[in-house]
Amino acid sequence: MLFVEFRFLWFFLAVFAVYWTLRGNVPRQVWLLACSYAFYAAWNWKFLFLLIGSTLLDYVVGLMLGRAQKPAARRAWLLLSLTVNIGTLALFKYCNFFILSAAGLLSWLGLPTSMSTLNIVIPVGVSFYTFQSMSYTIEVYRRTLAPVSNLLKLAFFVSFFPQLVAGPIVRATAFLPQLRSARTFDRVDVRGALVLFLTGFIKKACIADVVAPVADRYFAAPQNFTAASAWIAVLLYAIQIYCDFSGYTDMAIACARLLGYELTINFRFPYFARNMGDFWHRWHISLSTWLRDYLYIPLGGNRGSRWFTSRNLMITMVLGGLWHGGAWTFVIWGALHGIALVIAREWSDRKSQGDWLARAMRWLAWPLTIYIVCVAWIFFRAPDLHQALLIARSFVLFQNPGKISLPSWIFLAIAVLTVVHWCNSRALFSRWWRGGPDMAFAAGFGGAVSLVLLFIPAHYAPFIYFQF
Amino acid sequence: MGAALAAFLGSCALLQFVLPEPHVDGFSQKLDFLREHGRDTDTIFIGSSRFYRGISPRVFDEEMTALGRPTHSFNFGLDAMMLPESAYVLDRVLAQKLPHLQWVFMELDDLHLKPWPAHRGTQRLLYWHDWERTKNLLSKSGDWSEKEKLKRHLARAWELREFIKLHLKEFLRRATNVGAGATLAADRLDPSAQDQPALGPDHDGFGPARSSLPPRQRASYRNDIAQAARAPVGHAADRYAEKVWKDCAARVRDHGATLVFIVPPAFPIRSVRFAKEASAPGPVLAFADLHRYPELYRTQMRSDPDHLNEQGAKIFTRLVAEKFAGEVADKRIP
Repeated sequence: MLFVEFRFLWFFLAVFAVYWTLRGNVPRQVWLLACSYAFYAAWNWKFLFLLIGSTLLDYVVGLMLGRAQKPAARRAWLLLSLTVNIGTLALFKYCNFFILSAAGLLSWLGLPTSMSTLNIVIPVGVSFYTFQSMSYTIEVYRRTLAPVSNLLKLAFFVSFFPQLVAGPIVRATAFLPQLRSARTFDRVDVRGALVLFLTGFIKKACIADVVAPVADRYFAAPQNFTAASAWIAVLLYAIQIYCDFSGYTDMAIACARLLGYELTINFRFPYFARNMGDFWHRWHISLSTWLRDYLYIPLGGNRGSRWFTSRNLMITMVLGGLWHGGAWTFVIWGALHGIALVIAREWSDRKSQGDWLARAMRWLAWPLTIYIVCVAWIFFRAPDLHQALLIARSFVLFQNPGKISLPSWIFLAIAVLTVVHWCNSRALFSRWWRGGPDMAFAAGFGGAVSLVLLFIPAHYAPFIYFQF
Repeated sequence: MGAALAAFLGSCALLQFVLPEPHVDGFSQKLDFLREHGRDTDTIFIGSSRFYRGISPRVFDEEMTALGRPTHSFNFGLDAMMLPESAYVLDRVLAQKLPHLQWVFMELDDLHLKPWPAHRGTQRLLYWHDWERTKNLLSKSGDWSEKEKLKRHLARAWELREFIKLHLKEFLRRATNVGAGATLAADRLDPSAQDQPALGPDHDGFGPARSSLPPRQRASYRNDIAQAARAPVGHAADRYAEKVWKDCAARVRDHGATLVFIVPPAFPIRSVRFAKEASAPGPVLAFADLHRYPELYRTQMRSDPDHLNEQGAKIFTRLVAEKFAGEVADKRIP
């Protein structure tokens, strides 16, 4: 059930109507938990047991961490949670990757191989709710969060349907306190939530799904296209993945907000970042902060030599790449970002004020950042390393492998989208709909929805991040 | 909520009025042709591929001229056009207000709940889903006009829920213009996709099938024909189809023309008729008869078991003209 489908609209209207009709915190949370499980079961009901199992494990671990006093016992409980959660991820997401990589290595060494891959279906959203669940046990272990004694609350936190399958990865410290008191409809920013949902819908249905076929056409056979087409396709993919993922997040945040809950912000106009560090403060913020707090800082962070910090950055980014899926293309994507972050860090440490290069970089910072991000997207999107290198050659070295050209007016369309996005980043549009009476807003919203429907493609593509 | 809904519906209606119609393969070319060149057209054929491939307006006009009743006809047949799509096409043709329109020939058919599989998800299924057509299909899906217990109606509707859902979805998509802008943009971006040869070599809407029945199919076809000849089949159109046909006949009459039904020589034989001949909404020219029209079922006349080839189409068109001219001469058709 996708947020952009009509059946989600009916589902959400039913959830919303019953939720606000119920009195009291517990009946409402029970209702939302049941709806969340039904939402998840709509994909594959069998994996519901995995979700419930993960929740039960972390519930027990949380309680035991609260009781245990000895550091060794606490460490053992935490280790159990991390092993099972990461083991689940490893089994579903990385098993075949490790088998294929081992087979490739043995074959490279000239040794005989007879390995076969497993026929595994990846449970939708497993990376998201596993990380979310782990954040709970880690925080309880660190004693920054009291263990939850009510199973309903923890199950609700792990499975809350707006963010269940593609994030944002909500932290236990941010969400669990919201469950203590009953939500009141008077405090819901209905206008803001509706506009946010519509914005997300436009990003997904009217932009991401419209540009996807053009990008797909190129990535399916890059050897047939010109270098200019490589630029068009890679830029379109950059737009597609941003609009797809941030569109989903906008809709998730809006749905949660209409039910009285606040989710973590996940994007802050990442393509206007002026360096790679800035990019990661704006792109998939819930993942980057998770990796920072639970991986980079425990590894030592920047509390050491320059080499030590660079090593930690590289480990964090490579594992961040691997989080997206078991493929070398994701590892290289993460490594490219790691290298770019290390270089950016070195640059900011060494640059001297007044230097002509520093002055030039003020102008070059934005296009250079976008360029690096786009080069990395090539590895993220390409089906395999061979194709990725072919596209990268075309994109970076302007080598013309083929003769087919994608229409060059797409550059103009990209420029228009960039201007609209820039206006949005300056909150120019929000002034219109924030002011004015409710009746005018309602009429404007109804008219806007009818306009948005005009540009929906015939077939929806699943959200890209559902596969992660 | 009310204001938002009102604005939404009003805006949808306004957009539907303002926006140009998206391109529908075959239909758009033929309607555009009629709009531009249909002033002299007095006879129109509306039906499925059995019309599109089976009736040549050129041959029909020649035959009618020879019979002393010159006509100027056009073939509005489209592949896989079934009722209620054909009823919608009739409305659109009548809306052109062709000044000389005198006869409309339509393929007598049942009302089909199941759409042609290849049309799913395309403009071809979407464009005719106005409220009238959707209402016709929904009423048939529950068989609501029959007096029986609500439980039985609901049970039938439940069995056919897939079609009910599909037709309601198409209706809502059409009413709210879902994807209309994207489709229009795609039409503009790739106009070559609209160059389908729907008008045919003579620019009269006839698309001849130049191939013959493949040799490997001939034996089984002959065998099937022999079996069908021993057990002729025919059935009355259901009451929902009959109601639609009566509405169609009334509309054609309002335009000062006459609706004539044709039962083409399809195979497997579908010899549709009206339940009561006396109350039939129009004259019926039936050709789905192996004994009376054996020449139409010969292997040399067919491009595949269900369709006539160019040679068969010529013979069929002449037969239609002769029979029609005879009925007109006998004043059974005004």
